[in-house]
Amino acid sequence: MATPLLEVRDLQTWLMGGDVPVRAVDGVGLTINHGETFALVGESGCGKSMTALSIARLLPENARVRSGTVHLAGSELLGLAEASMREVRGKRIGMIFQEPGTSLNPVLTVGTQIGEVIVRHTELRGAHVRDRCVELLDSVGIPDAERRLDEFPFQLSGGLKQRVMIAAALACGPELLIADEPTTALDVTIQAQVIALLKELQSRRNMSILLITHDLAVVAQIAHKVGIMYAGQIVEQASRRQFFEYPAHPYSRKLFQSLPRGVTGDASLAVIPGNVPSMTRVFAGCRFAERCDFGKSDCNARPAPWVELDYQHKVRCVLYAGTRQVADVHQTLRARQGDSAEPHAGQSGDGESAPVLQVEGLKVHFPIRRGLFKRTVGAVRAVDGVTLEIGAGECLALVGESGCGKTTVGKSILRLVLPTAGRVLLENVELGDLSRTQLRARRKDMQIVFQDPYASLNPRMRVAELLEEGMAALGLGDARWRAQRADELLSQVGLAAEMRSRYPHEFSGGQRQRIAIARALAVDPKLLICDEPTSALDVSVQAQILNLLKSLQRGLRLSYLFITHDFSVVEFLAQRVAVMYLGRIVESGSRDAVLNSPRHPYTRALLSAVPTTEERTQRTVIWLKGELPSPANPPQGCHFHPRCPDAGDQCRQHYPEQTTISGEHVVACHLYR
Amino acid sequence: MPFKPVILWTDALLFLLLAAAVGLWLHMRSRPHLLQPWRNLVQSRQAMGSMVFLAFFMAVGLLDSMHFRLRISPADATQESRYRVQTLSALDVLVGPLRTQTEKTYSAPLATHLFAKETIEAAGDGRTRAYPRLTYGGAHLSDPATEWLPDVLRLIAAGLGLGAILWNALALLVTGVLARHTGREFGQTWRAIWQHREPLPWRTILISAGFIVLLLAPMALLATRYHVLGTDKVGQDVFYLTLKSIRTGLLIATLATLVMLPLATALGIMAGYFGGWVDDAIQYIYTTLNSIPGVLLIAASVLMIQVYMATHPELFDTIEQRQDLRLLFLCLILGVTSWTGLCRLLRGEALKLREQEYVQAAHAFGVSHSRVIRRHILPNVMHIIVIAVVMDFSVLVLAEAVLSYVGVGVDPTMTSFGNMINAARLEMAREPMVWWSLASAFFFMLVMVLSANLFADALRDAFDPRISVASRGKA
Repeated sequence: MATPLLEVRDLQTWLMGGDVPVRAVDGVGLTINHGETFALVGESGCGKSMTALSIARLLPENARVRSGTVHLAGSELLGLAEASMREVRGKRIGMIFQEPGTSLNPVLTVGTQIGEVIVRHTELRGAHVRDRCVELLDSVGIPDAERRLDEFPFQLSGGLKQRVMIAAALACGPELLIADEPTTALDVTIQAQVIALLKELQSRRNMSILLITHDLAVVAQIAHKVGIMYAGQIVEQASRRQFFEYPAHPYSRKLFQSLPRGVTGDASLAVIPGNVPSMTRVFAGCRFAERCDFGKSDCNARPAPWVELDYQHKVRCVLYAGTRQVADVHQTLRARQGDSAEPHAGQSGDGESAPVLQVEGLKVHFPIRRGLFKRTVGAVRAVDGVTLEIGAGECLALVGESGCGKTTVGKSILRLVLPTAGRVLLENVELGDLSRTQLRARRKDMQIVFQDPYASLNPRMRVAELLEEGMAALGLGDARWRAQRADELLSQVGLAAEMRSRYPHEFSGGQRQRIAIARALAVDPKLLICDEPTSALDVSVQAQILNLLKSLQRGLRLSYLFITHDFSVVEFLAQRVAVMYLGRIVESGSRDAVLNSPRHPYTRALLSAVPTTEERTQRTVIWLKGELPSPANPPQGCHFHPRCPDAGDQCRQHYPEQTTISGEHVVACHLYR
Repeated sequence: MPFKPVILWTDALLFLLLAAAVGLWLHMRSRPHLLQPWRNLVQSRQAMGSMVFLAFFMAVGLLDSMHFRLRISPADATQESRYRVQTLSALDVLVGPLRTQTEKTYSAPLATHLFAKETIEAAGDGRTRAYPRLTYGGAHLSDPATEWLPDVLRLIAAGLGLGAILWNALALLVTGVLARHTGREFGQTWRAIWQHREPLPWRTILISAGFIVLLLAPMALLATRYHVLGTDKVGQDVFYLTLKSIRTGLLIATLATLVMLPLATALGIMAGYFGGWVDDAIQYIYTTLNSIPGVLLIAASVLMIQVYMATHPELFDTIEQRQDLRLLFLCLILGVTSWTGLCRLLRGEALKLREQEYVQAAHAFGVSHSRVIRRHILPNVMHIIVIAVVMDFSVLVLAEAVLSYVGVGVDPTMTSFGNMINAARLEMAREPMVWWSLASAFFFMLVMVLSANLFADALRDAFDPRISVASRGKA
């Protein structure tokens, strides 16, 4: 076997500064061969980014590499002087980060930023640098590269920015590309493009990639080897095939089971009990022991051994310590797992009932004002005629890419943003006609849960104060009743009542989201608008929140307007789906109809771009050209026609009428006239 | 009662401010997240070292703010009690003779003779021009030429000794209390303090206190026999004047802030939170106010007050009341002209907070605007306010000096650093130079402003959200 490109042994990185050091990386070892993609997978806080930063020696000031070696094609990186390390970074190691928006300097042109790298590491100067930049932008698939070079980052969309970042990282032909969550901030269609680009570049340049991600579906698409990280350690290493066929470590198995994909009806998702242990601790035994379903008594006492299961398939678990075959263990595991993934009998009765919410022709236009007198020169049509209906106990998923106006729909239903036109009827009462006081009384019936649990809780209020605020504002009960209700709510969302006097910063992301849900439930709403409530959370935490939402729906007959971009969540929770594009709903219908036989070309493209962990043989991604147009200036005719593979003349001229396919399944497309 | 307490306007406000600070502390005591930055603060050596110096100045200022009028001993018991016209403060009583022992005119620090020659009637015939002996300074010496130096050295040595005793007593007291509090042995605690192993930087506190004690004790002893820092044009003790100036500086800094804070906070938050025409209106106000030179505005207002007070002398019982009212107005004017900076900061912050999801969630519950501002916006901009207040402190102390120098500051009869500098200004050209008034005003002001600045610096570090986020330790 040839020498590996990157070899990391027993890497330990500690974060100093607190009372106790945080052992962010605690003995990580991995090897990456030439032309190989190694995916380092784990939940937030497990130390995967710290591993990458340690390799590139870009650690924050308070972090120290305690021990270990990092060999890049034979040379030891940790011992290099900072000056020689700068030669390595950029030239031999390229890096791309999660947020393309903040990784580019906003006041320098794209050309300057890529050129900088080239000038630093090569002999090229002047016009040659520019030629090289054009070449690079071409290679990452940016159209019209010559012109783009002189543009500033704000003129580029998210997907283009990430391409520019990749171009800059590739500028000197690095042997290793470290990609830290490169697609997390991007929409599915763009994500598919970036993944395809990375794959293509890799095969063309025989480059190695260290991919850091939390998304198993992305791993399934691009990785050759997979390392699962938990609490600062790699707990399982395997080739992609081995890993997706036989995930061995109990943690890896739980990760798969907590994915909402394919779980429908009343079934709930598997959850990992407890929380990720604090990394300030010194572990005696297996780090996962406390949360493991198969934990034995001695798991806590002795460190778990590395067991070689197969060629290149290693797992750090005592279950495999014997010489038994993987398949045997799996048999046992499956037997003991019970029926957690089996659907329960009896679908919740979705009987026809009066709709809780009716939205008719909702429009929200934000005026664009210019000049001295703030004249209105145009409008951003964030929401441009949305009609939808939600019955009691029903969950309607509103799906679309970022920027399509789905969040604005949610906010304007609650009148946090005032609609420009249209009617919103809550239990047949038009909200627009109500006076301020009447509206305040109606707010009891509809509530919202936001995306980011870190931003949606006031850091300076205790949990009890947070929960009681809504009740107090709506004048429900007296102080004692409210305090009692707060305790009830906490137990309802699975938190202890003792937590009532803590502050939000003492909770983890998942717990905070539970608090946010409890706060919304405090006033006993009939309709809950969930604005991407799980997209900021890890998979295992997402599973907990989704289970909670589902059981609340069943128990309290809550109606949800579930705003999301994640189709697997839709599959798990929603009864009906509406797909939104540029302020309008292009397709809606029952979940099965829309997901299994999508009609609108946009829905089909979206669904085809969703990465999955299953290795499907026949899977063709429908490539969408370009990006979402600006809602200030939507295209003539059908909004989707510039990106649509099936667009005809008619599409360029008229916006299509709604066509009923069957029952509730409605689509706005000329193809089905 | 042998005296009648007099509560001047500024005294009342100062004590009110003190009460508010205590109230705020009581409010925060049970809220760990509010207390956390303060805990960082008291553990910082820089903060506590400068705090000791500030505490000295504040103690002097507070003592000087307890005013009263002494009763004139009645001729017979039936007569209604009457009080002296002159208002005294607790500080005046404490420093005793410093206030009353005035010479004829200038005399150098620790001098025994006047600074200017005078014609003296000799005992025999004729007159000689010589430096006359001072009435009080070194009056106990029969032959100053030989006795002066040993006497001064003796007093300094005694003062240093006294200082050392006082300081040791303080150090032992702190150690003893700390040892009892933690239940450790005395020696153990003592070592912990000096090896800097205590959570609070006691070593720094004790060393700073040592500086003050060792400086003040000799000065205090010397002051009983001499004029330590000399005398000014009308023979007043400069040391006494300097101590009296501290109150003026402190008051200006704190009261102007008191005026500025509600304006800046209310208008800034309103502008950011409501937006629209409210924002426009408030922005127009502060942009306009900002484009008028501050000094011009202050000069105009002060002159107006001056004229008003000159035409209505019947409003004031004592000189102190007149001085006080003018001081109050100066604070008011300084406050009104200096709120724009903080207002702008708060507007920006409120603009950001308004879009936060927890504010949106509150709106979704129909929480009223005033409540949202009180519960969600104000607590989250508090750190900016605290930092701004402390940073403004030194600026305002310096502003008083400059304004009084220009002649639009406090009442000319009031002792203040600015007035001292202004009075000393002309004498700088004299030969030999009269340097001590200016030097002592300069020195005391420097120490006060420097310690305030160092304290503000440490405070900003303690409250900086970026630093506190990093120390929260996201693993």
